[in-house]
Amino acid sequence: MASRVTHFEIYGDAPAELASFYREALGWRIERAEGVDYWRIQAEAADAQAYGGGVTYRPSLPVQGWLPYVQVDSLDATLAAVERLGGRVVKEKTAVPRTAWYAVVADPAGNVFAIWQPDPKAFPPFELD
Amino acid sequence: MYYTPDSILPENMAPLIITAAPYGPEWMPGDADIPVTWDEQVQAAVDCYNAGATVLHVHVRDPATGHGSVDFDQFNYFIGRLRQAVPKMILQVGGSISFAPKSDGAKAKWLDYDTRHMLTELDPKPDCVTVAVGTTQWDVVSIMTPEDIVGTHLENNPKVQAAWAGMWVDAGPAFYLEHLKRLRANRIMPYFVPAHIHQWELIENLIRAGVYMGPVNMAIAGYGGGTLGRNPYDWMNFLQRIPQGASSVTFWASMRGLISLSAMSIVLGQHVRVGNEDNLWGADGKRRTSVQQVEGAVRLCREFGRKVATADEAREIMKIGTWYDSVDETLHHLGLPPNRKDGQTGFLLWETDGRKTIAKTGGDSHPMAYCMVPPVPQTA
Repeated sequence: MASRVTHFEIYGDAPAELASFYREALGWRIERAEGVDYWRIQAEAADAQAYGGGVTYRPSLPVQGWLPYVQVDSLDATLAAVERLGGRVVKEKTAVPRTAWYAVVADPAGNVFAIWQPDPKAFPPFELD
Repeated sequence: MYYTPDSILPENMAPLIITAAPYGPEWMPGDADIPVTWDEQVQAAVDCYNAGATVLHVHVRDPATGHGSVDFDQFNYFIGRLRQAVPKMILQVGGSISFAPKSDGAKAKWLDYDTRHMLTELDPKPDCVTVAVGTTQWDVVSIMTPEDIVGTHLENNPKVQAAWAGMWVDAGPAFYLEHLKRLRANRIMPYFVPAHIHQWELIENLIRAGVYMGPVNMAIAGYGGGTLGRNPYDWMNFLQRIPQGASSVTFWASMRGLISLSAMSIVLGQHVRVGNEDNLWGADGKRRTSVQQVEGAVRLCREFGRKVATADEAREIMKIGTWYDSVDETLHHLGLPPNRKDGQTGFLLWETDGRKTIAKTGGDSHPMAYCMVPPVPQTA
């Protein structure tokens, strides 16, 4: 199955203000998720195929533009394909608890994007400080 | 502490304060009953409270990452929700946290230990924050058996076990002197966590120097590996050194060793902490959730005939919100001898002129002396 772009993220040092910018500039509905630093963007009318995203603090990634997320069937297989074809892994496989696995990669030209595999059992490995 | 012949009768003991530690920051959801979403984390507190716990040891898990949170705003958010869900519970935030500033401005403001001192500025305020006084090795796996870690991510994972074995708590004077000062300024009580007698000595010295002036609530931390182990004689030795006026002393230990030590604590009139942060098992070697462990402590206590504290009683026993204004006042309430004055020789006692006086400090008890002195007749 062809992978499709499902959502995107926008980063900044002051995401609340950034969310206000996009609300006014583009008329998007953007609401903060309860208890976390994530402002959910609803860019289109809500339906199963809606293309939305989020605003949050800038991670330590070499990304200045928006970061698109592409849903894949197998994150591990896609990571292997990216490296085999001359791309590189920018951020290793990471869990969104009970939601999905994701990673950030770059194509051979250096364009950065994220890949995303839904998995309700996803959970990060234990990490010591 | 000093035991008179009637001290070990259950009816003479203060009601048992049960601390619940249901957030197991060292575990993952597959390991134990670990709450992840905000609602689950709040519900864990509600369930422990309903089971009989009156103190909640708070750690925060970031539901977006699944890891322990280092986000100051998330702590504030979670404490706010806890205050609504379990308003009577005493909230004790785990002090082994170093917050991660989010923006460049915050990074410039919060330097070195400042990221730990941020605990003193939580809003809403917790009742207590745990404070380690003295740097210590905490090789907590050294006391665990292979059976203790069955079904957890530690099982057959020497790399993670080695990482755990290397844990140590950084708590030198450069940290704790400033931390105690800021806690007092923000009226958040320290909950001391000495790992052996000599850390209690450090705390007593802080009290004698006026660095801390207030009631003493403390754990005895017995996780082995550099902290106190499981030898009951060592526990008794430590208990003997704790001043008579300490408001509460809670036995902290790990895995099934916690069950025996909790039983000791209950019959000695001290207090207990249970939950998946410390233990995953029942005495029969079968898994127990945090709530089941609280229920077990309640059963054990009732079988012995001691009352389990209500939240109001726990607050009163721990003297939550009480602060003292002088070294002497603190030492007096703790039942410790006064500081030595210049040139004073011999063992130290509180001064008295041998005359009957009107009680000046009622403390938590009825000022009997005052009642027994008839008022002086007033004449026009």
